[in-house]
Amino acid sequence: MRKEFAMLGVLVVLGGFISAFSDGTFLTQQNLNNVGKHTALLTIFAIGEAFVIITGGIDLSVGAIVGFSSIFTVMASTGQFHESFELPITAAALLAVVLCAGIGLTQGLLITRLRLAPFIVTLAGMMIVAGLSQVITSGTSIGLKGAHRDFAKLADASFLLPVPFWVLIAVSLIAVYLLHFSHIGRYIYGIGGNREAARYSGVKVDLVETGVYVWSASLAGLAGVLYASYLPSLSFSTGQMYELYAIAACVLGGCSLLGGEGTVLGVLIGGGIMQTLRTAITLFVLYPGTGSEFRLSSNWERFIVGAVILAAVLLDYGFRRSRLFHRQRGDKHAAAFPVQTASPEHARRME
Amino acid sequence: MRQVVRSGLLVALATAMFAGCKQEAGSDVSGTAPAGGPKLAYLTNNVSDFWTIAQKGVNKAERELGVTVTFRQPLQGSVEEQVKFLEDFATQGYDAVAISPKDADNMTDILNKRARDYKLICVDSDAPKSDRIAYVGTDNYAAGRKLGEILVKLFPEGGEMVVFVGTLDAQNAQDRYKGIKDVLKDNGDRITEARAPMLDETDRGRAKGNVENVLTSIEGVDALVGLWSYNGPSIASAVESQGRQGKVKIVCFDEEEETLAGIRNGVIDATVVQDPFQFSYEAVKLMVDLVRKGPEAAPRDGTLYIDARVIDKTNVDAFARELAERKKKPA
Repeated sequence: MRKEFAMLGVLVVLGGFISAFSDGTFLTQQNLNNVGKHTALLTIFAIGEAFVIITGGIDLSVGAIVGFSSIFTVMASTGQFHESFELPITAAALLAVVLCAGIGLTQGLLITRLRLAPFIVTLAGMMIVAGLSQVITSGTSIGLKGAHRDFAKLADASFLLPVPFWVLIAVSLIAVYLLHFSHIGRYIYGIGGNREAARYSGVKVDLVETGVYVWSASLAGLAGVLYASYLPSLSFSTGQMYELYAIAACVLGGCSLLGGEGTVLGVLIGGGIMQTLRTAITLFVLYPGTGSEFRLSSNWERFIVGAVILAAVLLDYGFRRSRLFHRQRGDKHAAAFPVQTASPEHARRME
Repeated sequence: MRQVVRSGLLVALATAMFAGCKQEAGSDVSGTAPAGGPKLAYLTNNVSDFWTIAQKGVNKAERELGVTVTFRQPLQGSVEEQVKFLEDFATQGYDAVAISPKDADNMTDILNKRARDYKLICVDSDAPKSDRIAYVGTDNYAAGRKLGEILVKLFPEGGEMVVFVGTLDAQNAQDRYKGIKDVLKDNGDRITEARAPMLDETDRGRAKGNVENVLTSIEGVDALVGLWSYNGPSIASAVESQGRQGKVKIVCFDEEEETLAGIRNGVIDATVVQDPFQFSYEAVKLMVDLVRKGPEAAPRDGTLYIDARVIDKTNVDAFARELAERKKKPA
């Protein structure tokens, strides 16, 4: 949890910094709405990715699934597959999420039943799903064509908080329960920590792992439905690279790519940092309103986001080294003063 | 039994992966050349509605001239994919190729090399420093100037604008941008850029997010300019979601359905459209002439420009009907 608090500190410092250099626009309600909306759109599927990462796996298909879900929702609700196939928008959205869950199930079964590497299976999944999106759109742009106007306004609407943020809150509550307050969560951490030990302890590793891929794909499908509402036009490339943003949010939030580590709170903070950073690059301004006003070019975005991810990894490395150092020092101390280490109080301190 | 199921799943996965890779390589082969006819190819720079209309122009020329054209669209729109296709055309003995080069300046050497293998012309985006025989397409610089003139008319007293585009490495983006800037300069630079162009790398989510951030951070912005086809709809959607319609002017390029809808409902003021149908038709005609009659068939100054048009509220309905008609025509 210490790591999450450190990253929360980074988020607060980042927010403070950009507040000071945004000519007062960062803390406006409009901007906070935008940041909240963008954070939610990313973090919803980053939470699914985090579950996979905590089991020691990886899901590279989430970006393609976001794109597929958004395209399917739009096409199925506007008769763009076939004139005779036009679903109500709610049914189209639900069917999109179910289909995405099916993609996750297929990937999960391939990984657990055939013992295939998650990287390879989800890489293939990413290509297949993106290819499928290209086939169904015939490589062209698609949109709601003026239909379902209420749905088209949903992602931009706000009831105290932006609608996508309410969805994120609901998803987070479920995720917190599953990961931190249920036996499923303990199994997920157990699998990520030591798969064989978990198996010998009676955990149904294959079932839990498959479920995690279904959960990840379902959340990507849900995010896709929100993107279908948010974007005025879509193409088969919608969602491309989003898996990397999700992984970055997980890493920033304290998930270890080796598995066994990570929290929902951490991913929320990681997603917040990612989107605050991207907004900050646009909002950053020096000497506003003067002849020498300076704004940062958007060419810097990837560089800065990459640098922050690297800094987070280095920070994490520093924490680990520091913990190891203290543990080793504790061990030496215990060897030198065996009587003291035998005391229950010291044992607690060591812990 | 388990072994059989496992092998079956592996084969299915391998097949699916192969299918995915095949998609990656490109698409839309129109067919093989008729016996004795010229072997022609048309290579786009990505996959989009724009190229769907272009393909209809190619189809029209095919029907009229009795030729078949191999139509290729690189999925990722990368230079690497285009280079590979150009090599393949050389290996397969094509007589003429039309290409929309992704990065004209940096592709000069490869274009020169391929110009020795077949008759090479550029469409849509020119590579003037290369040995291509001719360029057929919109004069993007002139199209940019047209958009600049719209801005000057909208803001005779001056104002502040922000430009949105995927990337600025494509020749058409550079030419359009330069055309706009030159017109503004000719008019005393009364319209200035509030910040450097906002790049989205063709991520539509980021494209709309960029507009939202600009609307938040630059309160006094007067005009939003979209250089690529999806930028118009992204700008309009962000402006509407923040309730700024009417307070900020939107001008853009190309004819996505949502752009035309935006013009109809008054959110977008105007768009400058190319005519991919016509320039593709002319490009195929030129390739056939070059193969049959030789280099003298090339236009005198090496360029064949097809005019860009301004679409606004006065002509949007007529244009939409014309566009629908062209999209409907049988391949």
